[in-house]
Amino acid sequence: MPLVYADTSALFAFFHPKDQFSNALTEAVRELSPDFVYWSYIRFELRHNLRQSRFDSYGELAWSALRAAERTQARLRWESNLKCDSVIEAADEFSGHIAKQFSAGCGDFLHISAARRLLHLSGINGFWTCDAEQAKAAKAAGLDVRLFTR
Amino acid sequence: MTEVTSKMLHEKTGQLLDRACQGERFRVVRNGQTEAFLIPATEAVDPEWPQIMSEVWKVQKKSGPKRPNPVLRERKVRNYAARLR
Repeated sequence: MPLVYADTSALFAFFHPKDQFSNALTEAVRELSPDFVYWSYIRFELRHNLRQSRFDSYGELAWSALRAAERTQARLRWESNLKCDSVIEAADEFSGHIAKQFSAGCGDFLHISAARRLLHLSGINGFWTCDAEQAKAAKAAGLDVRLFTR
Repeated sequence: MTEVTSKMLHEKTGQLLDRACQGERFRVVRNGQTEAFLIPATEAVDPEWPQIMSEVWKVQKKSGPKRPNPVLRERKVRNYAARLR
């Protein structure tokens, strides 16, 4: 199974059936059948956004699917190499190099730094996002980026 | 999940199988890449995405308006630097 780092914008779109990017994400997953990188920051950001979407049946459906995926070992692959402290350090360093060139925010830099770390440690098969600004910074970081548009 | 190299798996197959029988799970890595999982026979293999997502994908096919991605919306609101440019 290929291992993909999907940023929270992409994972949210994958799980939520009414998200503007949901069709594109589903198509990509059907094509590639990837496992996704999962670590504490993504888990928090994704759960937070999905919790807030639980005001109707679509949100409930998305939440149930997330919980089912979390019960697996492989579909959302927990990466113990990604520790918050060290990823924040790496993101700070990365930001020091290129923050002025891109308008991506600090959360974006965290994702990019985590993906870079995994790329160097064990390899990943791509970085997926729905965020154009983040995609630019991720490309500059040497990641193989797939940007999803409507 | 414990990480083992393909070399360790080759050299210590019996030991690793004994540990798997007792419930331990292993991720087998070759050349730095995860190549396989060794899990106890009593455990079910993880379902694939179509199984996990079947209900979501059914609903997704129905027409109707889509909604803005909340992660992007939040980032745009927070991105003060971008607004100042």
